[in-house]
Amino acid sequence: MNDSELLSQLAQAVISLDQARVEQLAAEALRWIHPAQVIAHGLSRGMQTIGEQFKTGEVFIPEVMVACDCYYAGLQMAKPHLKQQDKDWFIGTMVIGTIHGDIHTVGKDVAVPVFEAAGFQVVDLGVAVPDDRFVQAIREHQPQIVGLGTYMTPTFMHTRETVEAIKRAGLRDQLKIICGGPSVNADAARRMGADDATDNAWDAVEKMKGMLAELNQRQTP
Amino acid sequence: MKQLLLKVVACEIAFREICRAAAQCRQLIDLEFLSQGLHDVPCSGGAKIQAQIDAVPAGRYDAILVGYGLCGNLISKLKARHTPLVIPRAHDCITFFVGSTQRYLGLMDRHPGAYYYTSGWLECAQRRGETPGNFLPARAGAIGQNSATFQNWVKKYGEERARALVEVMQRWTENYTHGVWIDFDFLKSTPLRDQVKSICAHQSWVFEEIPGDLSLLQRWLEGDWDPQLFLTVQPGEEVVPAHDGTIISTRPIAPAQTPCTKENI
Repeated sequence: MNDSELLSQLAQAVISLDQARVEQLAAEALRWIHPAQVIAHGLSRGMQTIGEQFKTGEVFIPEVMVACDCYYAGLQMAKPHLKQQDKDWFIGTMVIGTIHGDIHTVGKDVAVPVFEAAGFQVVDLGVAVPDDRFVQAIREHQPQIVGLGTYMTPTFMHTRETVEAIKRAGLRDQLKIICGGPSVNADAARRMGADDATDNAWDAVEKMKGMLAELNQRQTP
Repeated sequence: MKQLLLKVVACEIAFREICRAAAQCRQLIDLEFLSQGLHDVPCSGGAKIQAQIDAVPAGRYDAILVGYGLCGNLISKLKARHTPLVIPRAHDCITFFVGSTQRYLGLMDRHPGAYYYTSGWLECAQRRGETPGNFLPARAGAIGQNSATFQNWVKKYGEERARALVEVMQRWTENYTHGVWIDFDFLKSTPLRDQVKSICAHQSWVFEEIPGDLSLLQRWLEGDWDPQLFLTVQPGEEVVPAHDGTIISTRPIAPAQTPCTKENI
């Protein structure tokens, strides 16, 4: 089997939700192929296809979650092989967490691997994250993007407070804020001081790529 | 004061509470309940509620009382064709049982990881033939191991991976710490409180109970529609989420509607 076939089969194992096969193929691929290629053209490609299937209704959240488990199983194997310079693979950094008052984790747990597979370095702060914890993480990791997960109808309203805390810390202008969850709305998110919102992790990737481009353009003299 | 003729279209989750309040109310009320779980499939679920509203004959009722909270945007775009709709301003049904949004938000602040139990939450599962004492109803009945969804997963991925898929559906409870029984006097004779205690023991959650409050439902059924508590949707208008303290608002019915293309379970 050549490299391309091996990576295709690895992607297919993610799509088939076959974690044992992912681990077997990842081990084989990592013997011959650069780990960044294994992630980008094997594991991430599988997640990308899962995303396309999710958009068309071919698969639903449970399948996406199991695909995430498969992706992570392969990623954990590839990570020790990555050298510092390989981290150039990342296109941007984001800090993500479920907003204060909201203890739900599933939506964020689906989004994080999707974002990682798309090339974002993700700092996951967990659930019910206090506003000052977001501020502290922004200072520490200097992300371009902050993701606020809100999975209940009332907790989306907490966006305003979190954005205000980031503003008060003088950090708002250097980054973009996107809300995610089943009940979010982009116009309402903007009214509360965020930049955008979506209920779909793959749509979020497209929006975040646009945000990165906008930030980069801003920095270009 | 004229007695109002009101039609209720509500979620079965509030069956006992609405029936109780309706029985004591001075208005003349027709009740209709739809299966619990429509919020799991908001687009088609909302269409089912709309179909019940549209089936109400024009000119017969003074108002149609819609017994749903915003519930993950389930009621977004519900339309009043010929009779006004009156809807409690509520994020979800818990507000119905605790009497006000303010109290509900206070409870959420105190225990963000609390799962609230009412008679409806336990009994709708039993009506579907699920085992009494399950900690929650299957999501819209979709993932029980005899369901079409499970059988499709078996066909597509094999039985082992299909079981793994069912298991991941339970992950959302990982951060729950408390099970809260919302108590009403009229439920004292039922075994429901004990069922919640046993669920909490099984889930390793702290059991708590709080007194229920029917006052919001009573005002709704009595026609005491304070605009701060209830949204009235006039004919020609539809519901939109407000994403502020008012929770829901109205706008003129939008001409183009997006069909339901897919829904998550």
